[in-house]
Amino acid sequence: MSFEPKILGISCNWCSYAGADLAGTSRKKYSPNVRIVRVMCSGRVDPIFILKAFKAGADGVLVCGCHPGECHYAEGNYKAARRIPLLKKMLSQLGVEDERVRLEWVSASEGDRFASIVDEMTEQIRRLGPFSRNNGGSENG
Amino acid sequence: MSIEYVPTICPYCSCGCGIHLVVKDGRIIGQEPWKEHPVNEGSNCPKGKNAYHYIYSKDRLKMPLVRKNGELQETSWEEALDLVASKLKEATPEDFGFIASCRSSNEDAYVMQKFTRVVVGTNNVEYCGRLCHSPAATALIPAMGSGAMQTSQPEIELADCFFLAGVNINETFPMVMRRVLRAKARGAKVIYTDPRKTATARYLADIHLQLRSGTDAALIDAMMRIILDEGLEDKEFIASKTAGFDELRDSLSKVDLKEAEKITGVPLEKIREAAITYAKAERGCILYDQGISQHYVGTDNVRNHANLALLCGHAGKPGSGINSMRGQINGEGGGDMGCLCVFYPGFKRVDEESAKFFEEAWGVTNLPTKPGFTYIDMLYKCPYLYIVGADPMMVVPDVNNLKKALEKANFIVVQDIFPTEISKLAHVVLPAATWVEREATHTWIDRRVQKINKVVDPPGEAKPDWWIICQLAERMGYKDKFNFTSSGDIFEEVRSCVPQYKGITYERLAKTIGGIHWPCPAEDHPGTPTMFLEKFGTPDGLGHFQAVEYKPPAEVPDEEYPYFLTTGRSIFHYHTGAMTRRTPKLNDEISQGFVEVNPEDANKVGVKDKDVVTLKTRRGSIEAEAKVTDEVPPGLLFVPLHFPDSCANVLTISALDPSAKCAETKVCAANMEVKR
Amino acid sequence: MKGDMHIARSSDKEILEKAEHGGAVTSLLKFALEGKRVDAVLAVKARDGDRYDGIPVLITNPEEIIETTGSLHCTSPNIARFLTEYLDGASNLKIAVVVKPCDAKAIIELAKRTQINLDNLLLIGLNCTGTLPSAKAKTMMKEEFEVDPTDVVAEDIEDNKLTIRLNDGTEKEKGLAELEGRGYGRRENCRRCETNIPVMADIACGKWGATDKKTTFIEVCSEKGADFISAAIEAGHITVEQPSSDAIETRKKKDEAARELAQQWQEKDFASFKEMSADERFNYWFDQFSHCIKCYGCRDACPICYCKDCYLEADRGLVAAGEVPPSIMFPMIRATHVMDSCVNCGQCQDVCPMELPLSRLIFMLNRELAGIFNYEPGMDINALPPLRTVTDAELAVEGVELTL
Repeated sequence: MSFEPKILGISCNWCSYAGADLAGTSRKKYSPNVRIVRVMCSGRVDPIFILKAFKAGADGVLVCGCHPGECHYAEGNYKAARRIPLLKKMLSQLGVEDERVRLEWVSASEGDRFASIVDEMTEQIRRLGPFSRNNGGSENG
Repeated sequence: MSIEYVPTICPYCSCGCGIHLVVKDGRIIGQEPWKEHPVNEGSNCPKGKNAYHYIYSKDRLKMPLVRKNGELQETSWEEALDLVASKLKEATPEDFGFIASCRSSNEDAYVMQKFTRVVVGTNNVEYCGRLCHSPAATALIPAMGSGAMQTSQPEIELADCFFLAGVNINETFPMVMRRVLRAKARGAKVIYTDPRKTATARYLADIHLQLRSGTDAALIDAMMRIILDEGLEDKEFIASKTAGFDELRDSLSKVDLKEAEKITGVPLEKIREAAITYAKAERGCILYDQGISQHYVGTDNVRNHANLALLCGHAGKPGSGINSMRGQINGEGGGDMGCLCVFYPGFKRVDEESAKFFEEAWGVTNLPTKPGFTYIDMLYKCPYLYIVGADPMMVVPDVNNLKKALEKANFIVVQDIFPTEISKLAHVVLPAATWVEREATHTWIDRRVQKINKVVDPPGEAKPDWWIICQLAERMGYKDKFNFTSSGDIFEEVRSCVPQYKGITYERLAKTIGGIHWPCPAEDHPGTPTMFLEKFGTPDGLGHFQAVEYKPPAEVPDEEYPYFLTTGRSIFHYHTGAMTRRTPKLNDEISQGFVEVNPEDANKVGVKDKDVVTLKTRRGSIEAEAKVTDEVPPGLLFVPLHFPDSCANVLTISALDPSAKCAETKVCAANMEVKR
Repeated sequence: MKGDMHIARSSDKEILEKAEHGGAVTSLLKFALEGKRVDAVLAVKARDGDRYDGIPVLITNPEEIIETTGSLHCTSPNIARFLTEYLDGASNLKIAVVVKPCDAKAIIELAKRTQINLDNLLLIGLNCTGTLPSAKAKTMMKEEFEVDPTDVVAEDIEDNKLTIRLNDGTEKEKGLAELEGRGYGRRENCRRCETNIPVMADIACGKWGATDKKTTFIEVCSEKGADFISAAIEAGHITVEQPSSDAIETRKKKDEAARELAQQWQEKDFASFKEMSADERFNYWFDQFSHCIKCYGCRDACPICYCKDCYLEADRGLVAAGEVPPSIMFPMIRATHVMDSCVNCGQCQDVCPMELPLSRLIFMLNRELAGIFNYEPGMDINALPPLRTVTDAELAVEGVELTL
């Protein structure tokens, strides 16, 4: 049986969650590997959520927010734009492939785009393998 | 406003790590690293990082307590001491037993044994070292001349092969692990024996010999047999520095390696790998602890490990030898000061000659010449008991049985800093000062004597242990022999009759950060980090082989009790937990007893992680929360000894080593079921 | 004025005799107290004369200042922690603090996070090219210099050499490179530190550019510093002269040379990590952190870790309680939280029981971020921590890639 990645998708309430919703209402077929959690703003995403997700068994985390300039709270997505690269640098240094964390801007009208991002990321994580492949999962994961 | 950094040494284990206490207006408000200290260089383990909190716990004993109408009630020192003195005068020498503390200072310990011998007239004085490191004395004194750690902590780094025998240093001696890691960075190999797959096994050891509980002697026999077969023994060392090799070789010729594999459960190739690695090393270092000591064959176990060290010439060099790892702030000192029924201070055997020596030293007559009762025997046989800083109700095996005996005692005095399980049975409870509440010396694991200065006052009416004993001595007519006005006075007397300490003075200690290692025979002697450099401490200066015969554990699993049960410690707690359970940051990590259960075993009886289970042995039963983990192999349960509500020693078996009289708290048979 | 430079010396005879480099700093501290410009001075003193145990001391009596003269090179007390932990961040106490560049940077980062009231502080900066780890320094004195550590009365680091002076007046010198090649010498973070002159303090004092061994070169780094120096001169505590342009140039060159050496060390320190593959890195860090015993020493020592209610505590439920080694979450969370502002003080690595290369890791991550965020920790009180700011340039970025 081939490995089915588990991806946590954290989407902001205003643009990206609506975009994901649009993919659904348009009956767009795309990989079922993302579980979506809604936050009010991508700026709410504390890097700790992402680490916790990995600990809880996620193989990848997709953070979606509004395009620059379109954040409902003006600057929230810019904060995300700083936090995610920071987290990726740390993960990368510790030997975790930084492709497992992905930041995307998705607007409310970009249902298709959301779907193709999920497809793309699913395949990418599938190629990388499960998050816990290196440490046997049990300890320190 | 004055905020001062005051240096001191951690109150917990036997490594002896330096810390700075931050003192403001006479109260300790924090602690900071003391980067200069040679043992820990500014780092600390979790306990050491939270060293001082326990002294401010609300339930510190502050007043003398006397039991009236079944309840302990506060009273004055006058009344309490008068009562104790009058009661002790009733007792005949054989009826009295004194249990000294591993945490009292050298000065306290010295006064306690002097009191027992001079005032009461018996050698019934012991300390908790009996329960754990007595095999060091019974095995290593004949083997090499001393049971103390042979090398020093800094020199451990020099070893290129470590044999960690029954000692989970990752959790029990992190500062020693620091040294082992440094050696590993230079290529040293680590061999580790433990039935459990502890953190030491998983992350430190190169070779983990996951042997069946209690089969250490068989394992070492197999290793030695392999070493001989391969011709890897150190022939020159054996010829020039040892005696008794022929008998050992004969004994080993009977070893059947396949049988050993079956007995120990360790694959023969692994035993072979370990044996060859250790034998081929330049400087092998055995560190051992309760995993091999706390068995009814503890002495044999330690003897065999000593054999291994001598066989390969790994003794008498810095960073080498067979090293017993004491666990308490004065585990070494308590023994040095003679709180053992078979030793006067300085390890002079109890006999007429030693009695004479001390009669002269102390200006007394009629000192007892026959060995007294050992710790556990004392508790069962002596109706008058004086117990300082120890909790037999937590640490002696088969606690329920002990309780019955103690309930019949005529008079029990408990001198401590907190109410404990044993104080619940006491007739008098006396409040003691602890750690930096008094000036004192302690002796750490590598015979390192360091001084602790007084930083704060003890709470309420609590007093230093030695003061209390001196008060009693006075009331019993011996004021002139206990005329000490300070711990300095006591230490001077110690120096005068304990040759190992002769060259150590308070002044030298004040100037020597990291302390002085005994033996230190003169004031200009630098101390002795590693012993036996030229010859062993035996009468003939040689190391003596002592062949042993493997004996299986006293109680093995059967149908009714299908699991092995073993006990041990956690890094976050300290022995009976009295100090660490009262330290929030430590107690938050682990706040209740647990039992480690292998997932296979858990599945078989329907136990899930965090289920409360009942553990039962032929001695009694306790409840504990299940921790399903592969840290234990199938067939083995592990319970820590820190929690009165899940007291491990309710379950353990009172099988005693015939010479050392320590108990087999590391292995017995148990059953387990989910609590309905 | 800010930017002024002086060659200074004490006007006090006793201080001139006892102190190094003309005793200017000692006099300034004394003036700070006598002139009631501060309530107390926070300096470092050799505890009981022990040069390897420098402890922070809070001095209110000007007569006691002279006991803190002379730089202690073989010790590394955590000054920023002392301020926050025991002096309530100087919330209601005016303090003159003697700071090395790392101390000053730590204090400024804490001030940005409202943990220290910078308005109440007068930062007396001292140039620094490094300190030595205490216990190892004593061994070094015995093994390398062949002296009794307690006989050493002064140390000096200059031109990549370590010179010690003994109580009988003799001096011994060894090359730092040679010592550091044998595992002695300066603390690891010091070797790679590029901040030798504490321009983020109120004044920066040192020997580079000084006329001789009896003077101190002072650079005024803030208006507060300028006021202070003027007042000190006026009150007659120090005398000053203009440094020649040569002197200023010499100082600049020395700083550049030290910085170059530091950059080489940075490269060296980080090289092995950069050369490892992802798998190798994973294995390396997993192995390292498997030795962690959850002592919280790193967290306690770190100036950027200031949360009273730390995520890593046992009662937060994020890192499973009672386990050693703790889950890899522990170092990951710590790194994530502090890497943007790590000042390379090295306090974390100093106190780690298992000698994990914490400062090396986190400072390396910080250097990678410095390029992205354009942020230098500890240099400017007005530059907010990178995760709290958004630059105008970023507001124009369309994609997810941050290129500033």
